[in-house]
Amino acid sequence: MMFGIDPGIINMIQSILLVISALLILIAVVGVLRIDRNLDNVVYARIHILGIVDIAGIIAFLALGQPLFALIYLFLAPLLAHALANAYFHSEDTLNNPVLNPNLEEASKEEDYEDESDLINEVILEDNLDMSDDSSIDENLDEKSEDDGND
Amino acid sequence: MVALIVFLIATLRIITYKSISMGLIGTSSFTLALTLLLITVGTIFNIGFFKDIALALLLLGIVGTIAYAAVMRRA
Repeated sequence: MMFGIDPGIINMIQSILLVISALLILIAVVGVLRIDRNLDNVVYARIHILGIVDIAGIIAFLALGQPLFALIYLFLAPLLAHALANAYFHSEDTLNNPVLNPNLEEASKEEDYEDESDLINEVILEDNLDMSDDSSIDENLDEKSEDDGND
Repeated sequence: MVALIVFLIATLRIITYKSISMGLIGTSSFTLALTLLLITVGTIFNIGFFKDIALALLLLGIVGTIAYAAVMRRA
């Protein structure tokens, strides 16, 4: 009897947890192997998928009666995932890191310039199309022309 | 155990990808799977020292991977 609970129930809970962790591991394996390798940022996606395995491992450690392992891995797994993503970004990620790919910074600057020129064009177009302010001017012109006609 | 063995094979496939980062990711996952497998086998067959081996493997594997990632980030 552990904590006043029947050992049969504890064994059943352990079995259920192990089955859940095994299912999570299999789902993550299918996801990691089937994900398209030509996708952008696929390394980050793989790290994300393997996070499921980390949690499944923690559940399995707890089910196998090893809370020390579970606690250690609970603290180290996020550090590991973040260190790997950080290392990839600073050493191999030519898609997002402007240090590794200087063209990326130039392209972003050009995009900014394009945005600014688009904004200016939009303002000019709006000014040209917006006739609401011109109505008073037209009225003044009509009055002036009427006055001129009377004279 | 079957899921763990499948996962071990999948991590071997991940390790064989071209980039260094994928090798690191695969190695860390392989470490986790091997640790779980050692604990499972040790629990089933009542082998005590498997737990010590698993603890050393888990700690050293993860710390080594984090250290290599830090070096790779600075290089």
